[in-house]
Amino acid sequence: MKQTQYDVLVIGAGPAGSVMARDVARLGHTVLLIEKRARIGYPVRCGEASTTLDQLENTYGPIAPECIETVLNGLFVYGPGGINLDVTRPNVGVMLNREKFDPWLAHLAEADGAEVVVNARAESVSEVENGFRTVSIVMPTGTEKIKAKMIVAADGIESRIGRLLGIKCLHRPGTTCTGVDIQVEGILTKPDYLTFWQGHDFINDGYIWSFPKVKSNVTNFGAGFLVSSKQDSDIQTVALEWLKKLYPEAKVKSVVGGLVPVSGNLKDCVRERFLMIGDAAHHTNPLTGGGIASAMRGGQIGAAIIHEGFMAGDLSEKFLRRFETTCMKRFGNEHKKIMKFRRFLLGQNRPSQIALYKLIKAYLEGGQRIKVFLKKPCTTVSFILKFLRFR
Amino acid sequence: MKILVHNRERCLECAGCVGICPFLALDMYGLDLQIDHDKCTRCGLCICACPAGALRIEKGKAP
Repeated sequence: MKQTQYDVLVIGAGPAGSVMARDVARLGHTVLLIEKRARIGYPVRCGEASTTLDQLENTYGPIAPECIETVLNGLFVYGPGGINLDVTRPNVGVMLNREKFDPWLAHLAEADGAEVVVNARAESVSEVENGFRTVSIVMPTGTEKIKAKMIVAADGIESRIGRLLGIKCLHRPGTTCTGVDIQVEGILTKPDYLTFWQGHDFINDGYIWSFPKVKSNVTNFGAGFLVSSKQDSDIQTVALEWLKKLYPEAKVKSVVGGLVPVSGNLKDCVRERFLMIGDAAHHTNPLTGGGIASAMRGGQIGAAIIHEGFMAGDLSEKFLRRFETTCMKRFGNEHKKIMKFRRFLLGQNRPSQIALYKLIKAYLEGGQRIKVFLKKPCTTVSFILKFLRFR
Repeated sequence: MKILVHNRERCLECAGCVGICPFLALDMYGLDLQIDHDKCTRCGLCICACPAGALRIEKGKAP
């Protein structure tokens, strides 16, 4: 560390942390970004699919072409009872290469003036004293104490820092997914489509995916289910079984895994001079488990609010609460609705689930117009009523 | 006595167990999972969450 005191200390150099560090540095504050791993972006803990390039670039600016593996033009879902959904939509998303994307983001933060240190693990965060919080940082060379006016925890699924400060950010079974991503040589499914298997007997509480990374000629084949005590075997075994069943010839290159919060935005994620972003604040889409875009958006919103706070000389808990409300407005409310849909879909019995899939299929085949629903008025109305009554 | 045991060969280094442990009994540095056997209640939640089946409860003694 070059200094012992910074305006902002960001813990964790994933997409959320790096974007936060870059934006805060650009606004003229001194920033230290620490990462506990030796190499940023490695090991990857992600299926690597993200929203449209336009959406990423509108919020963030141009994304380096080497980070983008594939531009996606649709989704294909192998649903229950043989009802398959084919959604053709040009530019519906991109496949990223997180091993390149994460270091690239951190590098941009560095270029804009943030100091980036790897192999540095935040062990504890103190209470506020004279306008500073002190973080003890463990490095191979020893422990250092760094003072900062504002601490940002972007420590992902671990969310240890928030919990040490008494925030209820625990990932609970039922609202957390466990997932594994098997990198397979070659492209298994349609090269510009995301392919999913959902609603089959024992993959009801989640889905199996096959995402093509065209540039590297690799497919991310994975599975993610809600964490529950009912499972008889771990998800890696289940995913490998499915891979063998669907693509017996597939050659496995490597396996990565991780947990995904699918609970909707954490309502309480700030304290005086402390704020949480990204997976640590549960900023993920509760249906798909995707969190890259919302993590980056959260980082940007946080940076703007911290800047406002510095200008106003107010970094109290009360002031920082506007971070929570802004995140809620920008993507949290949408995530809430999506979560209700997920719970609704998983809560249906099999015949009802198949009927719902049939309805969606008719909608997609009828040119994705609301009018199509009028052809099946009874089913439509019954599902709308069921959904409205669903709590 | 039964204790939580970590299998480094199966571990994917995702640190999911750290995030789901309700008792803050786990912490991870690289492949080193630190288990605080005093805090661990052997509830088994981390075992359900682990994507790789790298955690088990076995007979043994806390170091």
